[in-house]
Amino acid sequence: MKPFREQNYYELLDVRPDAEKEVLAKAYQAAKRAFTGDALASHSLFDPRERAALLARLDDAWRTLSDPALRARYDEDVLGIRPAVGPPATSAVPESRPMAFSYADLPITGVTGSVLRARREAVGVPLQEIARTTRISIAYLQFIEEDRERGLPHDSYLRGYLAQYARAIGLDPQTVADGYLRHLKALRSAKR
Amino acid sequence: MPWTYATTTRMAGIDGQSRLVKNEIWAVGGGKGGTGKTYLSASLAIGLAKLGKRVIAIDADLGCANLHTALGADPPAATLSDFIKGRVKNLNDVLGDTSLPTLRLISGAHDFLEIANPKYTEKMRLIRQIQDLDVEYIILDLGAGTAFNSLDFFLAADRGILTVIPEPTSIENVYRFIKSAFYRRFKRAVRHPEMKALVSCAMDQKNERGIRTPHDLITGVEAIDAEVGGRLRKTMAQFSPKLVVNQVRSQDDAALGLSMRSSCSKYFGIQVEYLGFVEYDDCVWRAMKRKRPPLMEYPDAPSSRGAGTVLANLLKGEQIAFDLCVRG
Repeated sequence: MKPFREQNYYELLDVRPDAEKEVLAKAYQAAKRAFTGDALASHSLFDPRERAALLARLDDAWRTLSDPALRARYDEDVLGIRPAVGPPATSAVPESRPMAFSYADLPITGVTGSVLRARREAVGVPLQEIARTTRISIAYLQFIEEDRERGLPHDSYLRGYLAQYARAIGLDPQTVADGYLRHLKALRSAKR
Repeated sequence: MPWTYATTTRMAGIDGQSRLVKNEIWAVGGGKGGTGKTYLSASLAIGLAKLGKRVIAIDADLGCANLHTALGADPPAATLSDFIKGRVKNLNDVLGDTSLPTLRLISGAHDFLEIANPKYTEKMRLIRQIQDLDVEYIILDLGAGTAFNSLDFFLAADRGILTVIPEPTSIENVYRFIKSAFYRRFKRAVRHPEMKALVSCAMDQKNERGIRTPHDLITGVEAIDAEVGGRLRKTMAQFSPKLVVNQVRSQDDAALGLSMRSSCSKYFGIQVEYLGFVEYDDCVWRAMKRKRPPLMEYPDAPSSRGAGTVLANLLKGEQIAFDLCVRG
């Protein structure tokens, strides 16, 4: 019920304050998609300056909420929520990079079947679930993860499958599709 | 038993104390033509009638009426224009029958061009009589565009439903419709001439005072009169149009409703509810070609099931349950 400048980070990403990390990641990707310049969903609404401000705020939200320590501090400062269970998250410096799967962290040259599978397992999404929501045959999904290029459909179909697969585990569809097709091309030329 | 009468929201029929509650009006609008307003109106009306509800479908598309065809009914002898022009005194006298016993129809004006723009008083007389019709549900099929006709009917309804298809033109028009409906409501809510001028100014997209959104407008009004500003804020909180995405061909299309809901909240500060989507399938045009309602001809088609979900959500007062939904 508030315009974006007044929304807190959770409202901005359209998630509940107790949202799990992977939900947050999905929400962040979805929001970025919905509010980029050529996005259908926000067509004709924002002028360029407003849009840039909104996208910047989305990035701020993700940067803060994807980091457990920053998130805990934000929850306390802005929402007045104290961590109920677990150790106090006030240990200032996060000692390791959070296991985020922001696609920015995924080098575009590194998309392979096994990398995708690792991500999927890290997120905890079973292959059956992706098959069910995307209606892609589970055999194809397995072929993708196993790099079994002979079993895969034509690239133009595969691109669509990859995009849906990526979306299902909170990755950027374009990056994954481009990266995987490039990987496939390399595999093919190596065999020749 | 998916739908029961909720006691918290006003529902047609008998309330908790066994008193007769007046009918519930659902208006279907959405700006652009060809986005399935008439399809959805007909499907909701038929769906309700199939549940045994007493329903009247009204073609409020003054000037471009075709709801009777979508319902598979003959063009009725008397129409809304007879009522608006005073040839018929009572709205009940222009009711036409359909093939379903509990579903009746008031056809739009399809003769006089000037009927397309009735005077405000004529329109209010019409709206009052619609509210007095002795049925449980009234479905209003609105015309395309953001003309005052559509806006006034939309605002008079208990629930305003907007149809959108996954195309930029349609999305743009839905946003414009929301904005126009909103400003129209604002303008009727304020009396002070200075504020009326402010609202008029805000309706001009390129206004000099930098008012871009309803929120900017409220801030402007609050600067003049805090009390009126607070009232407008309340008006805004109550304004909750419902959204249906038609002609859905992919998961992205289906998710459009969620993104649009989020956009509306971020831009307007308005809470839009996403009721559901209707998949694109050939059954709709195949049935329409035969002048038969798709919902009756192909009740199990994906499109009909989608329309059924929308209806169920309206009756339950809920939004779509969505496995793509990011809300945790």
